[in-house]
Amino acid sequence: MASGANDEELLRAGGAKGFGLLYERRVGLVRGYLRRRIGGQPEMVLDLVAETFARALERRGQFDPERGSAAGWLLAIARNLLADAIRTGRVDDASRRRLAMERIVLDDEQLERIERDSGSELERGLAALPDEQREAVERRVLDEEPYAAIALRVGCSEQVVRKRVSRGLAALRRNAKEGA
Amino acid sequence: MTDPYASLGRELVRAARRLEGAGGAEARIRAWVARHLRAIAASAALLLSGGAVAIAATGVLSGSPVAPESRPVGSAGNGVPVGAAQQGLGAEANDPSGGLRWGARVLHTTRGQVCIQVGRVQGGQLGEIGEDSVFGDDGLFHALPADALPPGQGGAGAEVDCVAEGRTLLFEDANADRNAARLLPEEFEPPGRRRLPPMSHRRALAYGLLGPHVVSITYRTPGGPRTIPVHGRDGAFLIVQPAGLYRSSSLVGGSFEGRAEPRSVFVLGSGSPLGPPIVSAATFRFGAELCSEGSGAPVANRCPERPVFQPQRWFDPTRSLNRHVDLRLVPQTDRACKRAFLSTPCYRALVAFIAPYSIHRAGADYSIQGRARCPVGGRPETGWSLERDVARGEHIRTLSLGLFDYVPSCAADESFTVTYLNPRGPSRAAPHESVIVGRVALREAAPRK
Repeated sequence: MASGANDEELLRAGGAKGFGLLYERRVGLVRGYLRRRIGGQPEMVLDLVAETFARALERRGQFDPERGSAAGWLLAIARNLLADAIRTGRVDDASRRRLAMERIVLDDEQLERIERDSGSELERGLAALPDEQREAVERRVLDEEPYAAIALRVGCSEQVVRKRVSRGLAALRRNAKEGA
Repeated sequence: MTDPYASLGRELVRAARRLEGAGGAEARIRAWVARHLRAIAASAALLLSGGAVAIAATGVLSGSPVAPESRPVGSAGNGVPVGAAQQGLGAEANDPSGGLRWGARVLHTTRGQVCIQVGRVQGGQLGEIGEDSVFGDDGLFHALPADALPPGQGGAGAEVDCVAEGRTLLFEDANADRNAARLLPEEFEPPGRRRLPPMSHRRALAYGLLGPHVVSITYRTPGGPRTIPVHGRDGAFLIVQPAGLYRSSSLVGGSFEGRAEPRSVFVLGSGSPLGPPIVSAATFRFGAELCSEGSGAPVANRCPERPVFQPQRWFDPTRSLNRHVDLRLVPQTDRACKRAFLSTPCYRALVAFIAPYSIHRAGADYSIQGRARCPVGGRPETGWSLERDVARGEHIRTLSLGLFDYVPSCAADESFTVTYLNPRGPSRAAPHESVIVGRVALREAAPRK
């Protein structure tokens, strides 16, 4: 599978190598998404990222590109795992166990380096957006709030929110390409 | 210094290769299919023998009971139910399309867990109906055994969810089947294994155990918020709605300790980053005062505080008892090493230690973690826990789940650490804090020939 394949092709038909490429492409997105919600708990973010991709690997055959993007699917898995973690007080590791994956353990130096890290690609991209676009993208794309609810909360019409989301995503894509 | 995210990427690729090699077969699918096939076979046998299938007053034929995935053990995992025969259905709800009602049964276990089991109700029994590709679509009612607890510790099986006593549970699934089972993708892979039920056959479920202080819960409906009382001291509730009403597709939940302190209240509300839940509010009684959390509750008085329950990684205690831990390397077969992408010989770790504290509840456990710091080492980054009762002073011998190489030049830097974990903190039932029991380096265990 060529590295030029899109996420969905990598997930569905890329085999082990394709899944590795998908991981490289999307680990920043998933990590950034979880970091925003958990904050300074790098070990837990690592656990959740690991379980998210392990679950995606286990269930990749069920991914349906007609229902959404691979990135959205990964974020949905991450969100569910985070909800599970909130409910149970611990990060599920069922998929990693089933896959017999070795646990990644952070040593002190790695912890320090992660703490120093200025943030993921997603966070940096969001930070570069105008405030109203950043809030619209965060609420709609990351938190999956309905357009109507966002409009009510920020005090504008749904149409305006849609435009802000659209422009924000376009800017994120543009910035990502320029940075590549 | 290795980047842990790069290590994770390599680990995922190795796992993907193993999956390719194994043909992607998953034990969970096999267990699910086997469980339902056993019941189908039993029903067929009963039908052929004539008369063992009973018809209920409400008109649904009864077939053989659901076979549990595994037989629970009183001293391990979630334990076994205590006084299950006396524990009736705690909450019931109508099905949106009629037919058998839904019910929730609350069970307390020998290991201090409280579980809620959800299904359809016939003649006071909780069960599943053979429809939507379940039980061969036999249309029969299959009773759920009261001791069908999830394998392992905590977590959820298809129809039952367990948490430690004193904690609360709120489960939502906006896309379940008509037997309360989550529509797990692996059940539909490969095509032909099971057909995805049409939307009209799916249900949005919310159920939980909200503890002794909850009076009622409020949930969202197309006609506006609706409030229902909870049942018993466990605060059990059950909501069944048609699928399609809620965007949230899976699990949300909250947790609070069941003490009479308003600040311990926590319910996810509409402002949650996890999306709008089915349950929008809960009303609590603390002494003579009623207060609510969330939106749409009939009581306007807000509960004073709502601290977010912070999820935590496995606890990392810093204090060590410095007890002796013994380590032996158990050689694995060449085939096993090859499947794990390891050179031969490879090993599992046999870790032995004397337990400093007893364990009689699922809330506490002994955990063993492999720690790998050497970049060219054998990567014994394997972790596991006992998930069973332990006597104080018991000589524990436990084998690692993962395999690893033995690299002499790294053996001083790679180790196994035994910890006693008490995530809820010291209590009467588990009076000790989380603590490191001891650590053993790989160099202290020469490979056995």
